[in-house]
Amino acid sequence: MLTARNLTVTYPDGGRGVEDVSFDIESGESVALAGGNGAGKTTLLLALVGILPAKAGSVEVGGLRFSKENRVEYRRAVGLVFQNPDDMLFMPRALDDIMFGPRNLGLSETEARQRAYEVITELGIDHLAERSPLKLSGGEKRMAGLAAVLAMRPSALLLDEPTAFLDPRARRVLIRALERLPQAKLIATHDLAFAGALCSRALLLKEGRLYADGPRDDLFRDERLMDECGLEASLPIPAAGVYWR
Amino acid sequence: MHMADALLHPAVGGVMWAAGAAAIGVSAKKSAAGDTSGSRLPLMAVSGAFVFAAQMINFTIPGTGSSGHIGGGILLAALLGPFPALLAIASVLLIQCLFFADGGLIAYGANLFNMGVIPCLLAYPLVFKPIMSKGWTAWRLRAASVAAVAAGLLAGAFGVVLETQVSGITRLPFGAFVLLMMPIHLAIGIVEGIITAAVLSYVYAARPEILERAAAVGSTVTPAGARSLRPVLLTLAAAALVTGALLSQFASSFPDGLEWSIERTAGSAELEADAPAFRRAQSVQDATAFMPDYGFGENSERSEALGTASAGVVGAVITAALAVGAGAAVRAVKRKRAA
Amino acid sequence: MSAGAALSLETLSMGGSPLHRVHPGVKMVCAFALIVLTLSFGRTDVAAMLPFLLYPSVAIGITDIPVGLLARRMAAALPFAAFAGISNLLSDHAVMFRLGGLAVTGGMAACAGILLRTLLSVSYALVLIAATPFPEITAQMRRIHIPGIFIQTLEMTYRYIGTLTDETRGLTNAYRLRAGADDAGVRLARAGSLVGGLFLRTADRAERILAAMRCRGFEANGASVGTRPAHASDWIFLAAVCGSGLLLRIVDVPALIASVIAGMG
Repeated sequence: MLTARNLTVTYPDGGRGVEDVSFDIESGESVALAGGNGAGKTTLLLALVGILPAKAGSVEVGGLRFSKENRVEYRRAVGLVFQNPDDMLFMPRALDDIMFGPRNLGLSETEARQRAYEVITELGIDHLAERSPLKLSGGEKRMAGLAAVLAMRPSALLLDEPTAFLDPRARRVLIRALERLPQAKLIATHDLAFAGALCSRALLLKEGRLYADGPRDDLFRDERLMDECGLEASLPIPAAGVYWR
Repeated sequence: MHMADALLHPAVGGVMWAAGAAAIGVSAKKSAAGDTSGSRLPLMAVSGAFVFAAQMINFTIPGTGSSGHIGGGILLAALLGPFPALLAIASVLLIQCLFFADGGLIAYGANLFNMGVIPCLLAYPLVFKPIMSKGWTAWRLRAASVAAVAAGLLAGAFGVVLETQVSGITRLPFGAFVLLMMPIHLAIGIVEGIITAAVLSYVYAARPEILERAAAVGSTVTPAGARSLRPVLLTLAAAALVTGALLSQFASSFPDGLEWSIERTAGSAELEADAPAFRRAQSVQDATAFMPDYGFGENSERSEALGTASAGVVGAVITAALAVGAGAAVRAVKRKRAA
Repeated sequence: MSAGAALSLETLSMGGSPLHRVHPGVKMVCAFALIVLTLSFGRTDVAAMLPFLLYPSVAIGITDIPVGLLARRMAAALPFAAFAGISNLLSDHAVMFRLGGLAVTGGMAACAGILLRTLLSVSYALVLIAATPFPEITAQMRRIHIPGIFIQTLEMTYRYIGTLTDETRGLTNAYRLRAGADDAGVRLARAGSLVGGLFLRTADRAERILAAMRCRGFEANGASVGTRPAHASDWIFLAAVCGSGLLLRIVDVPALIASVIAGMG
């Protein structure tokens, strides 16, 4: 469903992006993207939605390969939940933000509103809709941002450090919400326990390159591997769904 | 420098609104030009919020024990380009007007002109840019900033004085008014200019491309190419003529400002009722005032007997009581229904 | 006034009173009309202006706007008004009438007039913004074809003022905690790095916002909320407010009452 082929991205000022990254994520699969600071996680995610242009290689979602001409269609199919929700909630009310995407896709006012309320109900955030993002808590903003992306009905979902700004309870709410989503998911995160709760597979980035790709238990428990990537091997991780209820 | 509604005559407010609206129209067109992807929008908007927030910071001025803060017009013009800067300032002013009662609704046009059009579309291209066109050096930046900010503030303050005087609500002698406003705003301008220069040099050192991009936005107003400002000035002139002509027929207070200015220039102590506009307005007021002799208006008889004056006061008190009482009654009824 | 004050207005504007339900465009026209009518009074026509207190008074009664809020907004507008009022007091000594031993001068009347004008115009604007959610106001502005890019800037500025003020407050707090005794304000020498740094972070934030917008399909003129059509009740409201306003402008009610009283005595 979501494919990167030999993807290389560099920054105009020469800063390192990512180099020769390839992977494939199936529909319904949740994959963790781990790596130290500066490893290239955010860069990779921005390249996967076509915001950062690829110097070499390509990205594809559902067989549709990204190009400048089809960027709107492409970005409908893969959504990115930004790390800082303040960056993605830029309308006066949460409802307006959630309607923003559908409206840009050509839906009418009424259709967009309907779509927005569908998503709002699915996520159980009815009480947030009419409020200004300024008045929402970290967790509520995160859910509003998620709703704003889901309103475009993407086939693949990217999340950049979704547990940043969240308290433990909000984290639980987010996990439950994400568990129910059928899309292919790539979750960039430092929060290995969070990753473990949702993902059965992990990609490890080191200095812009894909260092490892395999079952998350194998990777996260490999002390040497984790150390090389600037991460810490974690204690035995409970099976998904057990600890977090 | 935000003007309140109470200071303005609606005609003056209307004229300035027309000018402000024209400025927004021109700036919108220029800002959108060459930017079909809308990439300038977030920067414009967040910069507006930035100016709003940065105005909260108080800077202590060494040696004086007083404080200053940034205004924003020149700063934004240098960081965004003059036309996007105007849109950002227009947004901030409207939000300040609506949500913080900083500036009135009718006065919005005037405020936009004094604090937006003058710094961004006049002081910046006519003072700042020419000085900086010879190259970016620290001292040139300081000079350009102080000069442009001070010039913008002085012109803006002068605008306030003019708009207030023509409205005729305040009665400060023109000379005294000017003498009061100018030195204060010159001092403020110097401080603000220094702060502006400091910020601009910091940004220039870190990311010079921001300032270079700003200088390229839209065609700027140079003495040679003042074409883009013409719509604003023409609208201003046209609106002034139209409203002046229309309203001198109907508004009873328009002659107020006129006759006061006439008195000032002619030096006569008493208001002469001979000016044609005044006579016409007198007849209009006579026709429309229900009881002209009991009115408190300018043109009523001044030799009231005590009883009549008290009746007038009582009448006023009763009216006020009725007006306020109506609201209290509504609230009481509402409470009762909710209970 | 703080950013917190703007937010409480936001809560107020989402209320459900009859006034909230009136069409936003109608409310905007009425507010403007009332302000213009109020401002058109003569400089010393104080008493004739009094009936206009009816509008804010009833509106506050209907909508539950706290009177303290009105008082605070008055305070914001007061400096200029006081300045104008005092200038009149000092310069206009023509006696208009006498009340007992008190000589009421044109200056005093004008001063009172300015204060009343201020109270009225501030209250009309307050009622408008407290009874109309901001998105409805901007939607209405779109309908009258105010340039889209300006309205988008306006909406986004509104959205981010709170965020930026929070960030600035954090900045100034951090400064003061390390400023020692010198913590009354920021030293002028630090202005460049403090404000400049704030701007650079703002510029970075703007880039991220733009990326987020593009991720959701934004290309140029973005999405917006629409307006609802005006109902018959809205037109009736408009006619009632503007009509009565015009009437009150022309008919000098206090003088009317005064003549009745004088006639009785």
